[in-house]
Amino acid sequence: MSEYDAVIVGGGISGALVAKRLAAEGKRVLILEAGADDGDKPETYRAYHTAYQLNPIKVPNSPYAQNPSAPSPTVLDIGPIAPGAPDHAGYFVQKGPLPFRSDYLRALGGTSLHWLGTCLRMQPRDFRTASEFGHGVDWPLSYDDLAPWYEQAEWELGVSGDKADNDFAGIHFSAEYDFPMEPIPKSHLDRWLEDGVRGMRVRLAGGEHSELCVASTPVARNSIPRRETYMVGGEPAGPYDAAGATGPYAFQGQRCEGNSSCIPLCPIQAKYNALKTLEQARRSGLVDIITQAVVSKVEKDPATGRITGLLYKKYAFPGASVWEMKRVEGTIYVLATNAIENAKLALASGLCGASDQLGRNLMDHPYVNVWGLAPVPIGSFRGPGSTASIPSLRDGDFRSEVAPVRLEFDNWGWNFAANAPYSDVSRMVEEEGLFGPALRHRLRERVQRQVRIGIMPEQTPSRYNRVTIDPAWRDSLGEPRPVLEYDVDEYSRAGILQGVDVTLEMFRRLGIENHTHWDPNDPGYVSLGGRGFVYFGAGHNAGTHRIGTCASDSVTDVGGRSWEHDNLWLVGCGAMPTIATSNPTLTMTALVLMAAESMKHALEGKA
Amino acid sequence: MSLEADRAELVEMLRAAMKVELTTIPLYATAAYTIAEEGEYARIAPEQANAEPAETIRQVMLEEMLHLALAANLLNAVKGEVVLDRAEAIPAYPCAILPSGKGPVANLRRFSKDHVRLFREIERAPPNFDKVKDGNWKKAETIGGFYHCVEMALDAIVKAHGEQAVFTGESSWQVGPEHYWGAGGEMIRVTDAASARAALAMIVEEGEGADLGGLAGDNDPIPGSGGEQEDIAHFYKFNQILLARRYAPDDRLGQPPSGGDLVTDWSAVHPMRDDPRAEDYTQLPEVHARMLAFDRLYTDFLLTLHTAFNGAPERLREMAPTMISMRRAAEALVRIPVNEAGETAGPGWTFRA
Amino acid sequence: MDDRAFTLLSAMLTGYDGAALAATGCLPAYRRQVEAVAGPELAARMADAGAALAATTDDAAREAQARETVLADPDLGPLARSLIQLWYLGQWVPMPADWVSRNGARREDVARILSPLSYREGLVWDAIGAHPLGAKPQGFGAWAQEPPASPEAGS
Repeated sequence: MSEYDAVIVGGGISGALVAKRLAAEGKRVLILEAGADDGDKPETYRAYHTAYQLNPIKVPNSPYAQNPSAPSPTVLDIGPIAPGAPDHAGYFVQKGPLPFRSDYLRALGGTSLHWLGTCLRMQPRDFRTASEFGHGVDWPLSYDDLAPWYEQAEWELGVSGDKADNDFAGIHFSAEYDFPMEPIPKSHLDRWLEDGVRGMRVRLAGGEHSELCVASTPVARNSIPRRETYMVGGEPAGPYDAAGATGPYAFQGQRCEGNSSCIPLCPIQAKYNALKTLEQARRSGLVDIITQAVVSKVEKDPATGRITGLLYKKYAFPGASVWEMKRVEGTIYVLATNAIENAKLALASGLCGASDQLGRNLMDHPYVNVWGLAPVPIGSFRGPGSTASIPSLRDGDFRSEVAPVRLEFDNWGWNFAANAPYSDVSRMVEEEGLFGPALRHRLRERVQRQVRIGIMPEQTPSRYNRVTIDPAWRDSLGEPRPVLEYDVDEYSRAGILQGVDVTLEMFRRLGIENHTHWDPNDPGYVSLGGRGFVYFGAGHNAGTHRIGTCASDSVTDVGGRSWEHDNLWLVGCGAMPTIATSNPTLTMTALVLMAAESMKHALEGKA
Repeated sequence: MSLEADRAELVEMLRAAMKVELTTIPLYATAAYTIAEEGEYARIAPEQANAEPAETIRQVMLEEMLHLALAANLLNAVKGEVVLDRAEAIPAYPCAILPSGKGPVANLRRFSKDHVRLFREIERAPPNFDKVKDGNWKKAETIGGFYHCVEMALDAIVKAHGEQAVFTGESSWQVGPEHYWGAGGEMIRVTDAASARAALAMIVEEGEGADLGGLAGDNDPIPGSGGEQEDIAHFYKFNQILLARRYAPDDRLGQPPSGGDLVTDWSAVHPMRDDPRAEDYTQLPEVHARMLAFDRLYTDFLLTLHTAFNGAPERLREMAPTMISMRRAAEALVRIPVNEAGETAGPGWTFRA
Repeated sequence: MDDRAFTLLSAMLTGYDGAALAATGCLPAYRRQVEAVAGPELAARMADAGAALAATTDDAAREAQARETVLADPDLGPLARSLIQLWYLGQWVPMPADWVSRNGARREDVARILSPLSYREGLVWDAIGAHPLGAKPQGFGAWAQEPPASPEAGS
């Protein structure tokens, strides 16, 4: 009899929630986390803040030291890919044709440490894009099936949102339900844009028209808790007890203070991160966490396919040249790393091969920036990264021709697009020769007016976008590095261009001077019909072990249970068959909670 | 005595209570703002110098704001009038904390051991209430004694005239959790004797500690802990800075704290010159202008509080940026040298109509 | 270069007054950085240029003088421009190659953010009416308010 009911690989959101839910049922749980044990104590979390402040290039992983024993991809490693010559400058081995530009973080708490926190439900039609539009695949469940799990997910993560602002394209909420916290206030910029686009109608592909509106974004970021009790997933809950920072700094992070650095780090932990769930899970006394433990092999019984144990490499400190091989057993096993690492580990262990879907259907949101200068001071560089967006292009009949997009309003000026305000200071001092009061006023006059819109298009699943492994490519621990093949198809490119056109029309209407410039030498420069643009990764890695109704075209059932290995679950964004235009974490969380229920039933069946 | 006479006496007492709470806020805040932030946090030495004491004092200040609002609720519940828009209602430093003029004296000073000892004494529970058994709040020498008089007066007026007659204030003027949220405890609307007693109990327990100051815990849950962890009282929070160890809620007065280390670097403090006032720096125009600007921010803050406590409690929801801009202005002032000795300016907290 | 001379020069180059610069808490560190890279002779020349500028009371004349005597100077110019960027961004911009061949390389002349404090206290954030990303938050809801109006001159 093994010591653990469940052994979970991965200490991010998925792993933490599974642990919390199973421990609440009295199950003994072990979490194996590949990354270092920095960050779960407040003193060392502050070290992340210091590293962020000192890092001149503030990319999403900038606060988190690279760990050679459990490397994470970084956006700084992205380069062009020559045909036949994979780019292996970083952790990924990129075979192309295009670079996969997203990153993730292997550390306790996972990528939730650096995510933005956006929590958007998928729309009802997003679950059946094949039937409705002839693109992508249909999900094995509907919006209504997932709705009670969405409710639970929003309360687990702690989402601040406004129901009335988010009921477009068929998204609906139960009358007895509400988000646990009031919405994060829209920024001054949001409201200025909203006033400007009111009544604006745009023409979309296929001749359809749409009237633009602006919706505040539900986010996993602490705001003012609601006072009432609601029905959440069928159970009464509330008022919500917001979770701030972990450990003795619990009074911090009770409410967003506008640190404006959500990506890559919330200094006060007002933004949700999985460390909070891990802290809650540990209170049960039933959850063990071993960090600096890279799972190397999932062992299976060749006759039955059942998983019999995990082998992991325990390293003493990041970069240590030796490690101990250890083995652990459980009744059930859960892969909860992320879409790419889950696929990598399962491939390396010879699992889930029958459907030929494992590792395939890798999806991201190829994200494009459009930026300009508003005619009035707009108050940029204040507040959470994004507090509102235009949802009007996220659904419509045009989806049979071009991809839907979300137009995300960004509150940090041209920081992402042009490294503002650093680049502005540098240019004004070095090239324009400004100094003294003239410099000071010029900065106020220009940088205050910076506006950036992000075009976030759907990417549909393709069997050719995939993660594989290759014995030629290994990291310093001897573990396989993910080998990626990736492309952005015409459907997404056309959707992006539609989004760009609508945004530029909006700019003209509002008197925003367009300053968008896409560099043809950028590795993310692509084109369609002679129109080029640069895409980035949105940090969304999904699709590689999708759920489905039958074993021939999916890796797991809707509960995340492997078709071939009946004591193995794969959870995370990899479970999602499509991602539409929603940042995937919320939907992932809903699926994870469903999966935890499936695991609980399986464990009770065994008892 | 008549209802009106009793009410007038109670109102005067509750106004004094507001002034007591208001006096402590700039006192604690100024000390906190002089704590210098250090830069580098190595993994080997993970304790960031002075993050803990700064955070401790910050928590105490937030709770004092809560107490101010609770006192306003008490005052409004008995139809007293909150006054914060006149200089007479605002403490001018240095000053005694209590209306008797006895007991601790508040000087605006930098963070130091002596000054934290003063804070501790302000929050110390009296060993008994013998000195105030006649209920004369104008003689009270401790905050605990003072509030004991308030409790006695409240009980007496309710007993003499009945709840209905006493609690006649506009309920829409009460500050509720939806207006004020985010610091040590749930905001209590005062509508009757029970809620009034609960509000007073919260002020006292958060300050002195449960069990008349005998226990470190303050009966308030730490947020996000699912109600399972209790916060500790101000007296103990200050004492743990002095003793360099943390208290657990079950620790008792007179026993050493049972928790982990709390490291303070007493030298990492900006050398603010004692008792800052804008008038003292007229010969340094840049500094003088900034000190006046701070006082204007503080005055605006008080005027907004006045409006909020006089029938517009929803105004409290927007106040975070105002309070933070005061903090930023003060943190800037304590870094600006004003003399050859290297002493620096500081927030004067002067009401300027 | 003493603190007073350094403050005068910095005030002129940044457009922020002495109190604002002192309020960052970075003045001693920035003075040391410039002295370390400039070396004693160039540091003395900078101090003199600063004092001379302080003696000129007419704004327009002083601005022209700053351009001619400091910013256009082949040795003082790059130092001054890096000093401005140090105040505004908290990070050092190294000297160009020709300056280094004339004046020598210095260990401190590397691109870096000097400290978390210098990052936080960069003047650019006040200049643009905001706050340093990741520090000195403005408070819940501040982003919903109108951006602050332009500051009065000299403050």
